Amino acid sequence: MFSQRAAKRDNAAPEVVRHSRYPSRLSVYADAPELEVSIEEFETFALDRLQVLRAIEDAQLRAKGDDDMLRRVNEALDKHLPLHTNRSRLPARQLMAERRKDHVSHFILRLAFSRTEELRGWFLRYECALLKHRFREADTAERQELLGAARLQLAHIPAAARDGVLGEASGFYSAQEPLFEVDFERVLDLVGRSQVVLRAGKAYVPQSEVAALLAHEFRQRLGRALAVCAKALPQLGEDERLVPVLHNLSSQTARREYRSATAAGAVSADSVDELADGFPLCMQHLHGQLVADRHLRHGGRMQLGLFLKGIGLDLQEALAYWRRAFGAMTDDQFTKGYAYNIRHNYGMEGRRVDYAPYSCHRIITTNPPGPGDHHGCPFRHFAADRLRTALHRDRLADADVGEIAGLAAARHFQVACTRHLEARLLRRPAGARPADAHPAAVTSPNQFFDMCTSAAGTAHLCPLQLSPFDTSRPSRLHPTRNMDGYRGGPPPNQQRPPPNQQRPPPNASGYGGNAGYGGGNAGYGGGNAGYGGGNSGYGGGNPGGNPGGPYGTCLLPLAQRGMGHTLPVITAPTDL
Amino acid sequence: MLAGDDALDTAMEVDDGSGEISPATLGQYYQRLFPHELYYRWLNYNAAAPTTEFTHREFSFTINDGIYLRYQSFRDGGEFQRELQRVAPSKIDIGAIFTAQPKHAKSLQPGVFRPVSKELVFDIDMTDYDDVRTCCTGGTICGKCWKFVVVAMRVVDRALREDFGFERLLWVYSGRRGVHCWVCDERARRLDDAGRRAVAGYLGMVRGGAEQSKKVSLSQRSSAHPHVVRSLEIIEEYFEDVLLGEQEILLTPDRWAKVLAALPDEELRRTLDAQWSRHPDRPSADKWSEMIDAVDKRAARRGAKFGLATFERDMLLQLAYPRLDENVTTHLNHLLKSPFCIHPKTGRVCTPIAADQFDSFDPFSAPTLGQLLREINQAAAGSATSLAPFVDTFDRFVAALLPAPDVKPSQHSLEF
Repeated sequence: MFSQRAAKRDNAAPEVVRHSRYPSRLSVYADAPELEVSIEEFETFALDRLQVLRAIEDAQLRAKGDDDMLRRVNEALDKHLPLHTNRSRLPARQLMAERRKDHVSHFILRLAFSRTEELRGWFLRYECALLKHRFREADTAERQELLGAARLQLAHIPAAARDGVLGEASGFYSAQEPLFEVDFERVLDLVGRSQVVLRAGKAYVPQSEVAALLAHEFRQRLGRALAVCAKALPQLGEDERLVPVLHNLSSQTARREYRSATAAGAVSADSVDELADGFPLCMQHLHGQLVADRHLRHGGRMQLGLFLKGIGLDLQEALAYWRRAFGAMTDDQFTKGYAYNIRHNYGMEGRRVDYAPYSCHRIITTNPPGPGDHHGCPFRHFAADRLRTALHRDRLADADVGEIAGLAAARHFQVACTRHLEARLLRRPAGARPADAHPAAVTSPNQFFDMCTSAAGTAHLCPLQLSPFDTSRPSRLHPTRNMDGYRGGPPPNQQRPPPNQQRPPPNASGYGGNAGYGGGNAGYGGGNAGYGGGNSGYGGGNPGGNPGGPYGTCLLPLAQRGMGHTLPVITAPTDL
Repeated sequence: MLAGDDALDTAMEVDDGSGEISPATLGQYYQRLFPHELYYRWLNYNAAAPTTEFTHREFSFTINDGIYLRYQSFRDGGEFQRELQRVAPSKIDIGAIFTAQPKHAKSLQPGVFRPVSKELVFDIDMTDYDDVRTCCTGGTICGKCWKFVVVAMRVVDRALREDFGFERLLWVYSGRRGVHCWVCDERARRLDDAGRRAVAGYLGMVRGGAEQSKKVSLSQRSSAHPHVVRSLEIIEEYFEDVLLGEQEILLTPDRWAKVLAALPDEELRRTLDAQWSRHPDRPSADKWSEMIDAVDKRAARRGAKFGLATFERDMLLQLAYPRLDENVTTHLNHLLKSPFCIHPKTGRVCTPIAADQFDSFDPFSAPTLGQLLREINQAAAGSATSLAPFVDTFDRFVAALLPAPDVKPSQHSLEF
């Protein structure tokens, strides 16, 4: 085992590194690790890598520019998954340990994230982003190594041939920069952002954008590997130590979706208009437009319709509400053009999926509004002056409007929305104001509404609840760990005034006392608020609660499935 | 998801021609007028025997009360024809080609039944231009606002051909207020959702909803992109006559407020508004050049910041660059109304538009169902109807398609 060998040669020179298992810092993970991994490491490594991938996800949502993006990701990497260069003069043992961790953690997450299409998509997206990031930050030699390892096929366009191929369009690139010709399908990201010139299906990629090609190649291969992995996964069912760990890992990234506790039927078609005061800005805007125009386009109908479903408008009431809202059309037009989609939203047509209301993340990142559309997130999609006008219309004080517009301009959309909620709660007379007017970060319009309306009645804000699927189930191995972030207070279900007994325990680490945006970046959490704090207990390698269980050596049955992977071997911690 | 807003956003006006649509008249249309053979050859990609291109394709038939019969699929052109004549749908939508025959979808696991390919499609709908056109709104169109569609077809057609290298482009009038483009090259059909998103991203330029006044803000570098340069050249051919002349986009305070709102300079906005309010009736062309002069002067003083220097270019794009319904393009599994079906609201046939006729195509020349039936009832047997030139256009398009590569042996013969 190399690790033992490396361990014996403490202050080894780079020479040692060159002949080691990991001569290069960066990897495209072509081969699976042939090492022993303890169960303990198995989980810590994977969780640390997860932190990094989440940090990238988070940064993509709210970084203010390229520099900010780089800074955020580097911070996460330094903390959870450092990977020093050969020039760093660190002991070879440390370099090897870092590279091994990078390698092993990638493969563990492959296993954990191959289970569903959605998880595979998530993992692919952020692993590619991580590779691109590391490529950008790497030095020339490392880049060459990585490109070599990925065996990219590139056709270089000689300087002399440039004008012949591109004509006037060659002016789009700087004259010194080498250009490569590839099929446009290999650089979709650059095509989508119009960063390359296209000619007859070929894209001309400048040297500085070669990372996109690398990411594409990597994505293709990783996508295939994940598909194979998914087929092999049922075999793992026999290993009762790993399956819960893998399950736990992947369930922690799935977005924590807010589920309202309101029962269907709680709201009638007649009461929607009165309730609009408690709507978040996006829904207030859609509702206002619907009233004014007696019509909404498709995106708006979906966003508002599912929100209303979430606050308790049942199917019959929804049909009545929308029928009345679209007052100008005939019954026939309504039935033919709209009723189907409303029933569809309630799972009564087509695939019969009972659709959930959109989360803030979804509203912010997908289906941006086009001309004539009113859907979207006002903090994300309104021009600055329109946002100010809308906030003033909601009777906010100038100072609040300024602060909220500033947060929106800095791309802290959900924080801006949370501030909006706070400002609404605080302007109430003292008696009707909640004791704690610093709500948890808003992650869903329905959560905003529930907090706004429940605060009106009870004087207490309930902690954000998570859907049962997403609550980080305590690990089989470390049953106590996921509770780390829960900050004091009475035991959840009994002493709060719960509007609903079914709420899961508020183990949403990080959510509990999250005063939000004030502090460092963890607090900016929005959708991710729960991520940062909750797992902080993991990194330290604290043996924690040990439920026992057979720790012997086991094999992940991957190679047997012809996956081209060799087997990570898992040993008991005592073997280390 | 059923279809884009084209199908669902039925606006409130009543078009003529819909009164002539009934199961009986539709039945006659599918019996006597619908170009079955060409249609089958198109979707079977000219292969001699039925291939999975056809047999695994989803069709959706809409019957009288807006009921969608989804996941219809057919063994061959003969079966398709018989079923079409039997059901006489008021609308046909075309979906993706799946891993299995869509009619068996319900009995298959969701993971097993997946869409694998489809033409790359684009949907341009005049309702997306409601904030720039002044002649009509909603579902109605006229010869004036149709020119936005002409610009859109020219811009998109050239980009798809020159930049992406696609050659098999079928443009189709949607029967009412827009056009569809079906890119039928094999390479386009194979694109996955990510590939479609990238093409849509490359072609999409007007971004932002109703609450975003400035919808185009190109960086200096992007504005040098050959696609942008070429599109601007096309737009400039039309801008003065169409937007300033026919549309008079600055004629009234309501109209100019929308344009001024995009100006990134508060003071300039107020000055121009005051100036125009004093003489409101002057033509838009005069106001436009005043605005551009004022912006240029201000930009010279304030430097390249604040987006003033690029204002004119951004506005040309914002006002006239094609507005694509991206949801239709980006999802492999999205239905789109078929060519040669009858638009349920107007009764007009969704006719192909030849690529050399973008400027001359008149949407009101697309025959209605009632008109066609009168023609075949009155004319001598065998004489051509006003659908004939459109069938010819389709014929030329289909003849140029290459046979599908995955020809599978099949015992079903071609029967027509």
